[in-house]
Amino acid sequence: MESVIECKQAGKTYRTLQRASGLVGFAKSFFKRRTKEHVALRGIDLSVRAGEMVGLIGENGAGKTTLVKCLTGIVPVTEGTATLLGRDCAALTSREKQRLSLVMGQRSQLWWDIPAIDSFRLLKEIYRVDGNVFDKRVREHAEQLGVGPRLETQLRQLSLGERMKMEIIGAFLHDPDVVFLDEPTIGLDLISQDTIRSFLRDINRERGATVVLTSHDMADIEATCERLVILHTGSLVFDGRLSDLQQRLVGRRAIDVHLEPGSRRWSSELQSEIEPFGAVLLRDAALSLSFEVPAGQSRAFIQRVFDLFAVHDLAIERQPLEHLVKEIFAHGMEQRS
Amino acid sequence: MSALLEELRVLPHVVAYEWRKASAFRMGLVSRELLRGLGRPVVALFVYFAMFESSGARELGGYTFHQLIAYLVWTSVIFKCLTDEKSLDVAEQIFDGYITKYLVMPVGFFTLVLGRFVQLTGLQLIASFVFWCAGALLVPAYWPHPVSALALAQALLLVLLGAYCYLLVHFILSCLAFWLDVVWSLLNMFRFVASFASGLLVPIALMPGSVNEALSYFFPYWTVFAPAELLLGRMSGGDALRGLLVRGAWTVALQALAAITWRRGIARFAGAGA
Repeated sequence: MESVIECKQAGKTYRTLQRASGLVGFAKSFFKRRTKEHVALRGIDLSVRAGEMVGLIGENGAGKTTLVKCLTGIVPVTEGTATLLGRDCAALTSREKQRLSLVMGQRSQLWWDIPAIDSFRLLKEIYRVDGNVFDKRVREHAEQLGVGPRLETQLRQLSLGERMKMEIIGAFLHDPDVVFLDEPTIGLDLISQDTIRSFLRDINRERGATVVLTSHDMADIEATCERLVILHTGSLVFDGRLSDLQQRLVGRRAIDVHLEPGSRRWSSELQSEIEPFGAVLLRDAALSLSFEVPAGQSRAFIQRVFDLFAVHDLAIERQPLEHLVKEIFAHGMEQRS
Repeated sequence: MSALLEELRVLPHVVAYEWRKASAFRMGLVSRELLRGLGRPVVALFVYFAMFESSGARELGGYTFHQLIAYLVWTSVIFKCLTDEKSLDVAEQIFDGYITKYLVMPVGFFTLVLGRFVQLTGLQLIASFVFWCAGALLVPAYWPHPVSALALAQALLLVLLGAYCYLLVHFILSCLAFWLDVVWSLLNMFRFVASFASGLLVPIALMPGSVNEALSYFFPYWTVFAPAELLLGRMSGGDALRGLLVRGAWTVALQALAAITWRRGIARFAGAGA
């Protein structure tokens, strides 16, 4: 299948101004500027085929947004190459831009003081959308996202969720081949998040649009993407099917232990008590502890937990994907593997 | 060529969109757009009155009080049609990263700015006409009329071309937001300098001849002062032709500078986002 995004050893280095602290530092920086190179992306090899839904995750500063900006031609890569729809991302023409869309969760592309439908009308002209197709798409998308009656309401009078849904309608009006969504569910309630996720799934299935979704919310990725790309301090540490990552969790269990008031609390000496079971402490809260333990050891481990603590309640689950991702963020993929 | 045609195709739609934005709030439309620039002439009227009263002169620099009022009316009408720092908001959009969304669109950012300019100038022309008509009805004895239809056409051409130069200067200064965080003060400085160099504060004819001559090489002179003088019949069509040549040179130079500033600014733009 045709590859729509192709990065080969792509990297991006920013030069940032360093300001010394204090009055003397301020005076020095005023006369003598010091800059420092900040590597935002390094050695990114990535190939995305048409119709794929790719989840792009990483902690703050991992390079997700920079990668999206490089791929959409907003900023150029400083090392390697990055192409979109077969053309160098830094030299996209209006022909490629016509097939592209970008939604930034924290930056509205619709005008605040007028109804969304008026902004859509301008987008219709910019992207040369036929009048009948435009009417049909706006109606269908608004219906799917549940904002039909709000199309003619001033954008500033809409809720955050409704505004984001309008942004998404605007992004899909011209039936783009590639869509980049940068944290589209940020700050939204659970119902709005779910509606947007299901809309993205439907549109990918029905229209075959390639979707690159960046999010801090693993639930977004799990609900929509088949493929996951993880960035860690500017490097790509995982690129594979979400199911492959989930496979790593099959043999592990997350155990939440709720303690009785007055029970013994966790302390570092207890580390030696849990190590023989291959268990890892995930969280130590006031009256609860969370562990991750190999599935085969869970029964023996639980018995030991009852010996060590006054247990009020206990829950066993397959380890959430989020925990694994957190570990990847913290230690990188190699250590985890 | 096709890219230019595409931009021109989109332009009327951007203008229509800007109209909807400008008219989103009725009070905003009246106070921000229609009454724009009408406070200054009221103050200037008192200043001119005081100057004549205190000096007891019948004429100042070749202007009678009546002519000075006529000058004031024409410069106020012209000034309404010029872009100012508030009307574009380009610097703010660059500084806050909001232009990121426009950079992925298949239409140039300048087309969107131009749409705002056309909408603003069109609306201000209409408002200026209404303002002039209202004055002509209320105080017909004092209200100035263009000396001829030709002078009106020449003045209008100079004003429109001058307004475009003002747009380019504002765009260039706003693009400095890619590098600086003090664009607002630069725009303010330009406003004050341009007010002086355009004859908005004081008619340039009242200044020494050398200053008058020096200012005539700059576009503000041909945007406010010269059209007002044409409408008063104090300047000829030959002068207007010189004005067009000066303006043409400025337009070419500013357009090139705008393109360079934008390209360089975009090259160092980090965009919005984490």
